[in-house]
Amino acid sequence: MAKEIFTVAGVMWALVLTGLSVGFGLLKIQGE
Amino acid sequence: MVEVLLSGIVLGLVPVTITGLFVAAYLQYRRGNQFGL
Repeated sequence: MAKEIFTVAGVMWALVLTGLSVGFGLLKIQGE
Repeated sequence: MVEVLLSGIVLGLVPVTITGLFVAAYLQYRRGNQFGL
């Protein structure tokens, strides 16, 4: 069961970091 | 009665949120608000 929980937690990390990267990347492009 | 999906979401979002808040605070603490945006 712990393995599944860590898998879901890892997916959440990936989603958050992807969103931050895309968001700040777009902000950087738009600010140029 | 442990909800695997719920526990994963909570344990995944809480650390990354706390980390992000502290990083943002530290960047402003060090050099003022210079995120460059």
